[in-house]
Amino acid sequence: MQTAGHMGWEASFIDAVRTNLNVLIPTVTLIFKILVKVVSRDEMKEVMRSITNLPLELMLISTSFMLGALSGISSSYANRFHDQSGAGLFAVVAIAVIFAVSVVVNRLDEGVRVLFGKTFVAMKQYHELSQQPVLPGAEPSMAKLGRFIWAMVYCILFVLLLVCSFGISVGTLAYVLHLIQ
Amino acid sequence: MLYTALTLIGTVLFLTFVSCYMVLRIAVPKGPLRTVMLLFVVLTPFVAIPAFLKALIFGTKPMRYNAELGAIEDEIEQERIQIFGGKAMHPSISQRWRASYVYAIEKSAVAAAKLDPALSTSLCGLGR
Repeated sequence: MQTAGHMGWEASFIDAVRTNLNVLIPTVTLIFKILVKVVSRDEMKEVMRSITNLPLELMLISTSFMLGALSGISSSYANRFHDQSGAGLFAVVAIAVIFAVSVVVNRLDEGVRVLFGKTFVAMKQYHELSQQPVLPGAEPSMAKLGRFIWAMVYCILFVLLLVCSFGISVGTLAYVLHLIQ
Repeated sequence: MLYTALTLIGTVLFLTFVSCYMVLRIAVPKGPLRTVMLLFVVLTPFVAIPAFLKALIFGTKPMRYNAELGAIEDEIEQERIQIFGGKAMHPSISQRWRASYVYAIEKSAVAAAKLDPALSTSLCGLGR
């Protein structure tokens, strides 16, 4: 009885993993990347570059899955088409489209990196100005306030670009998984 | 279908928040400022969609250009290139802001000149 109970739990777990691969692959990849970078004590620039590269890496994972489908690893993918040549042609077209979308994602990632750099510098300059002595009763300086305003603007743009970038890459991965599962 | 869409949205938001948190840990030293920035990160995706729809339907009002903020952005950009390398962002955000503000002023001046032709002489010939 105990064995059967364990099997039920394991089976439902594996089933949950199988149906939620589109969530698990990006999440586990991000967590792995962060852990590896933290454990290996990489430089700040490297950690930032690694995290902002994640959407492009998800596109590469999608390409790998499509290549697997092209080579006939997935039977459920082949079953979607009448013949093997149709399945192969669709996989080739899908890989070409993924490449074109990857170019867009790469441009978005470049934007994310630039905005991160700007946020970093704006906050650095803000802290340098904050450490300077201020006369009592003096009005808040525009130089300090302006840097904080820019940091917030960069942060908002940074989030929007990341949402677009992750949205495209996670959506592509989910579609590819839908095709091959 | 709905479940897939919801999980995808959840995943995108989770990845964005975790990435932003890691990045802000580097960019902003500990303190209330980081909390404020994280609050902005959390709110932005939810505020952006209604704001985008509102801008599509009702249009946008131009914000008055501030030259001092433009100069501050140039200083930030110069130091960014020194630290991280790469090319300067061109046009910068403040340059785009100035261009859109000037365009909005010109547009409203032309519209005003069309309504009252007598105005066109006093608007530096914008209406011609």
